[in-house]
Amino acid sequence: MNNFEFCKYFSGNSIVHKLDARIKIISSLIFFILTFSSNNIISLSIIAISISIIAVVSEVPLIKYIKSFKSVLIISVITAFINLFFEAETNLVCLGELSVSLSGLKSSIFLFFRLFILVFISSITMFTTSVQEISLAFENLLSPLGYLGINIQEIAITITLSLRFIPVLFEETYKIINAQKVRGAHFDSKNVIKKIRAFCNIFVPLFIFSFKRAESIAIAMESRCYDVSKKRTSLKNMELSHRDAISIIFLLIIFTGVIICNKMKIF
Amino acid sequence: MGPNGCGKSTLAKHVNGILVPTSGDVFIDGLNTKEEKNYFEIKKKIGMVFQNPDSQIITSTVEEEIAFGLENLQVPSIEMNYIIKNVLNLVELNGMEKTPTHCLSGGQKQRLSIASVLAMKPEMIVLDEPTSMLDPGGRKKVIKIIENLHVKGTSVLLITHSVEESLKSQRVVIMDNGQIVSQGNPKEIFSSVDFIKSNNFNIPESTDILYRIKKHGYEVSLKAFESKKCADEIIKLLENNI
Repeated sequence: MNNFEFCKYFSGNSIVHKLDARIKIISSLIFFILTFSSNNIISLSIIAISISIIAVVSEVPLIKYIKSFKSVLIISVITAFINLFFEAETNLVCLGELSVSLSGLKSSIFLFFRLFILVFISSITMFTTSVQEISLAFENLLSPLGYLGINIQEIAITITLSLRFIPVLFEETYKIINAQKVRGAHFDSKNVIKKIRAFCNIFVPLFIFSFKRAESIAIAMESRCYDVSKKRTSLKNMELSHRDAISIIFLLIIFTGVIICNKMKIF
Repeated sequence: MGPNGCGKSTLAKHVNGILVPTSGDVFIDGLNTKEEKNYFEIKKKIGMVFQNPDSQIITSTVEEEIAFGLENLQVPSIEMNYIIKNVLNLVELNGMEKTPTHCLSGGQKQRLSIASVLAMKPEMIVLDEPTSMLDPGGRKKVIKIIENLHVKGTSVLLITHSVEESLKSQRVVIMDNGQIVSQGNPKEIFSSVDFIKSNNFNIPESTDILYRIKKHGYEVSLKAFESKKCADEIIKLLENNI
């Protein structure tokens, strides 16, 4: 249930909410690239600070972000830990065959923060952009593919539906787990085989559920005149406003700042 | 009305062409549901609301949910906002345009489903047990909306297990095993208590009381379905006998 918060839109009226979804998606991608290209503490903190400012402006309660961090905490700790041992230079500590070097320590700390920033960026985008906006943005961004004979509308509706049903599937998994627990299933058994068996009992009903749900949604869509081959209009037309222009300038400043800082020789 | 598995939902799905008959034909306003070219027209004429509100909400915010049908009908986006405001008013969800759909209560979800069908201006609306998953408060609101719809001139086909709801209709059709068992004015149908009991339906409590009194040989009308009318009937009986 921890990852639950990851994909939930939080309705609001902040500047970040009002930004064009295309801008949000593209700038998240740019931020992703910047995060991984940053190689010193200043450039990474520039990114962290600007992301935090955006998060504050988004008016989404802090607890929501903390919840989404919690879901990736373990994986980032593990990745960072493994990374400790894979940098062959002057050794700081030796544990038999394994050795930790200064650069290994540095890169694992960086990796840890990078992963956090990644989650932070994607959470901001997810919390402030509704599914429909995301799919509309994708539809818009991918529209050049239409010339290659690919049906973009179909892809967009697929995105809408899959994003909408991620929380539904989590809820359903939780329900199935509870239903099985009530009937005496053990999910915390230490025996791996028993554990796998127990999880089979979750996935089979979940699989069946998703097919049934897909069918009923298909019926609901069809009975509301949905037709893949027909052109659809759209509630929200994508038009760039002065807000978006300002945010692009903001992004460019960060971008150049990070690039310049990357050239500097600091820890 | 009818017991589970008697074919009510199947019939409803035939009405808007989701199902196509294997034998015979279904005509909606002169259009055969078997012909593919009529699909769009039929679905535009007949709006459909299902039992489980969760399995018919397609998008993640209220306004987008209502817009989904309008987008399919190629309504220009300028008109959409106006229509959305209007239908939300009808179902008493005003001001909730931006609310995420997963934050709504069951009753609100069902009212949203009705609103998103209404936005498409169907000539007839088919509701397949829309109240069966709701609490009494939510149920009352949904039924009130359906009643208002009918007053405003939309035909309503309601599938229900509740006698109380069916009493508000103009015509009740009782089905069993894929066949129509009985049909007519609800007051006529539910006052024939023996028939209803033999079909395992619940009769309104007030009718049951009057039925028991009548069995003892007293002269009472069985057509008093509300507690107030039932009380009047009993008072009349008492006054006559004193």
